[in-house]
Amino acid sequence: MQNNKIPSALYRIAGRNIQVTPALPGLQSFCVGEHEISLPLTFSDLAAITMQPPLLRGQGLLYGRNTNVQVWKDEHGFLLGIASVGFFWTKQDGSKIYQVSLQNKLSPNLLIQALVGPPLILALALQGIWCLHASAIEINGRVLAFLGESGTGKSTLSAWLAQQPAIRLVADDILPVTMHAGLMFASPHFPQLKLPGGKQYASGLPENLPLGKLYLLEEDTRFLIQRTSSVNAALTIAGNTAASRLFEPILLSNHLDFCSQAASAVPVSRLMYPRQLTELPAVWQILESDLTGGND
Amino acid sequence: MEKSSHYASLPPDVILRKVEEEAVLLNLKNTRYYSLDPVGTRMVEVLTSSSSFEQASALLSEEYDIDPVTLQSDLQELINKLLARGLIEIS
Repeated sequence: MQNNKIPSALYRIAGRNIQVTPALPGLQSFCVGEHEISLPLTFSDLAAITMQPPLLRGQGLLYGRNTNVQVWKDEHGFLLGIASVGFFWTKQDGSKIYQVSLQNKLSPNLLIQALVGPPLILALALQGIWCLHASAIEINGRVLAFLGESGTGKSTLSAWLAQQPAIRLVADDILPVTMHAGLMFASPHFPQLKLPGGKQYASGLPENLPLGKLYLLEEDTRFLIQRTSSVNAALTIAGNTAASRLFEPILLSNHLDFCSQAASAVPVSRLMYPRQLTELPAVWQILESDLTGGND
Repeated sequence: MEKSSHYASLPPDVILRKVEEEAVLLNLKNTRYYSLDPVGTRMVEVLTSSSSFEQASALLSEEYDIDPVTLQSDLQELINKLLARGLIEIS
């Protein structure tokens, strides 16, 4: 055990408290408390854990590149090794993340991108918050989310819609969601690192908003919204959950519970349109029609 | 471990969750998801709660008002598909 105390911070992200050690200046707008602690893992602990084969291997996007991620499990939590970045340890109840060992001369931007990726997404999942690959807007007090992998146009669509009257941007790339009392909620309080500084955090919005609809973006020559069956909705939500390849069996089981409940709670539709900026007003027209047409 | 008295069961690393009348199956071994339509979902429910193939097919034949030969053929086809994907075990 190390005796040197280092600064640690408690962050309020997506409606959950997560202690991150050492504290990250880039997450200051989420900070709700600071103190000093000793890192509970030593380099020898790390060496012992990584001597074992990893429990899971996956890939995550970091700076637009696929990056290998490995997960080990010990009796108290999960150790994540992110290639070219280092090791993070997430407590099994998702309440704490430690930066255990990082590459030398790691840029602050790369570090925060890595931490807000698999370690934070896993920590939230362990607390029942699932992160969708989605952009999202708020209109009339409820959230519309646009699902899709990178490059499917979800950020462009949400950014354009957020310029319309009475619409606010909720998420650009990652949308934390959860179920409560049979309803699905989205949290705008998550760092959206692809947005310019100052716009990365929707601080003017409440911690949770009801989620009204989910749309899976598809390129097409037509403008069409087509509701999916409930089982396809569950599969769509499962397939668009970030970092789910890093979930171990118990978490996968909890995640499937969430997906099946969410699919019954919120309509999921395919939103098909030609992927051109000039067509976005027409996309808004069919969305407005879908929202007012009672296609639920 | 006590052996199940049912004709079929889900392997320990397979999870089934009903979504209204349909179902999602997840094979934890390869993290693959599968879906079952309402009829397939009901077939799996009956297979995993009946003591024999004959008992399951008789019950389903009655429920769906289909002749037993056609029903048995459809049921066997589903079992074969589920077995090939490691989604069911036959006792």
